[in-house]
Amino acid sequence: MRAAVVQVATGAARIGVIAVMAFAVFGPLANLALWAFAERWYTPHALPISWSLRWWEIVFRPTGDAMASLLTSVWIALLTVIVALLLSIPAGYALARLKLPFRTLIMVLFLLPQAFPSVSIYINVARVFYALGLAGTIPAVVLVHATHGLVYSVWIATAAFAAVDRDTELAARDLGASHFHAFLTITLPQAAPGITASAIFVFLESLDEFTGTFFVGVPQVTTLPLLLYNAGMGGNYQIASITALILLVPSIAFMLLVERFLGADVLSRIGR
Amino acid sequence: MAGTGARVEIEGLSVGYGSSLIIDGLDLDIGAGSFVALLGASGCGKTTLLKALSGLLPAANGRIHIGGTDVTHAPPERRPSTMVFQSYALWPHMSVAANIGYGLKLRRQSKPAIDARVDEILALLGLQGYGDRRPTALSGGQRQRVALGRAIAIDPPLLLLDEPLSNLDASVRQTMRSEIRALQERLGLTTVLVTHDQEEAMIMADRILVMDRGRILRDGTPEDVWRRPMSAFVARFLGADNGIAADFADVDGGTELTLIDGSRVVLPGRPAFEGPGEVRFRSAAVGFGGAGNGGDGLRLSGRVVSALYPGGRHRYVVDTAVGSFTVEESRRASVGEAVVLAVPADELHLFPADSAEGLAQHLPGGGHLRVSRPVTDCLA
Repeated sequence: MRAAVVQVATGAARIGVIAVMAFAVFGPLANLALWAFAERWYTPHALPISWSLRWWEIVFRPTGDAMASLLTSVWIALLTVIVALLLSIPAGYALARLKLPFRTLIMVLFLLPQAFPSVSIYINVARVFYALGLAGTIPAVVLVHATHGLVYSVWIATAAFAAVDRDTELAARDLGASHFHAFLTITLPQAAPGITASAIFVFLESLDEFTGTFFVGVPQVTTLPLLLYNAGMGGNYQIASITALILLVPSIAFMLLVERFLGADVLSRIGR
Repeated sequence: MAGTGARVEIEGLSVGYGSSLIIDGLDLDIGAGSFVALLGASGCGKTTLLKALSGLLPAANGRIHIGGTDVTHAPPERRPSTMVFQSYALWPHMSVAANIGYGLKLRRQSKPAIDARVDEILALLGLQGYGDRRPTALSGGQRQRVALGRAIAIDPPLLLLDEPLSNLDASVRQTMRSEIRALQERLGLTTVLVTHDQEEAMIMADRILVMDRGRILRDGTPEDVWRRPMSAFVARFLGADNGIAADFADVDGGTELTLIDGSRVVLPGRPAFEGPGEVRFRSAAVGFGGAGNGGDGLRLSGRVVSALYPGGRHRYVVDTAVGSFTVEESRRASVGEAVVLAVPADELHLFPADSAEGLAQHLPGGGHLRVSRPVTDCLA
């Protein structure tokens, strides 16, 4: 009898904890969803007073700011991925395979941009870019995003290459493949899932990035997060909510993909 | 297809990692089409030598010729040798057929030619129908075969095997030993096998090189190496686990041994050396002597301290006044029982003390043995 009571109590406590966590995660999302379809909504009303799809029309109008900034965002994210991969594939291979002096120092170096307050870094970056005439251009934003993304791509690429059995590479060379050919046909394909995952991380980080874009891109470059910020500041919660929902789609889709691509063998080697 | 193997000549080869040389000044000549086993404990330099042959480890000094061509400074991709790795090193992102065809593709053979050759290899290794599978979907023995197939697909003049069977179950290993041997004979490939398994080396190779600390201690046919190990180290490595320290002296044309307890034994034939030395013999060569049997060789009284039955013959540990010995014997004995160990004279290997490379004396069978003190005195 007592045991049954304890069981019910722990069951209830468990459900309670799950409910609180679910509210923390899904509460704000529900708020977003409501705002995206609200026409008029103010206190003390718990739910919107009237509903409308008008704002979706405005956001998705071909000539609208939202579509233009979505395109800009995706374009910047793709370029960022390319830049990050061009650097992280050779860097990751070198860090995983070669006996480099100061290897840990190099790994930490990629972490540095994240270690300092981003605003102070980006203000100085903006100053340098102004002097170079880069400020307010897409390449400037891509460079800032790539620097930010390199920590993921280099660390994950290093782990992915380290997870590839060195003998498989040597076996290819033994059969007559040059170093480069062995890398292309044996090492890179085996590291590909990890590299793909790192590319997805970089893509999502770029899509999401606000501070750096704000300092080096404004006013010429408007990405989706900047549009969201402008709409939010202007009191237009509908546009802000719809933009936020749009930003969610690739995040969720890619997260599901990452889970598939990143095996435990790679994850366990990250940062080593 | 037979006779594709190349002759390998190594002169004054030195190889190592960084500044420390594992192998220093090694000379070796391997005949075309022969099957050589490099046998030794881990760290003896056998894998280093194999890597030097494959080009995975650069030579610090000396020369390597394969099939008459100097390959001393050639990278692995420019050498005619192929290697089967201990880990197999199969490519998990490619099918079995693509694994086997990789070397052919590199040699720019046409697709139909590659397909035909891959099918031929699959059939040769009993892997028909597995071409489309991934290596990860195969059993250990099948993976081993794919690794072998990948290495022999290009008809290499020199095949290098790095502990190829060490990851297999005992029964699969037995089959693969004879399969690899048969394949090698059929294709006429010059083959170098690295192993620490004495039985594997004996069964597969037609020439055995026992290595220790980067040097070749013994070089000969399996039977020759087995019968005349020539040094205490080689004898120990080839299963002569039992050893007795003794003093050797030439007495009237016979060899007199003084054991540590003072007892004396005389073996037929003049000794090759005098002074301190060592007698070694295999556990399979020892038997329990009968009471009245005063025949050849060495006789020691002792007491059984441990008895095991691994199947077939019993395995005993017997304590005597001159040490404890392992004995394989078909007769049953219990722990504590007093027994007399008898080792025939031609099963005794005699070495001077510290005889890593020393000359060994081997006694011809059929001689007679004189015991100057009754062996029962040996009993403590």
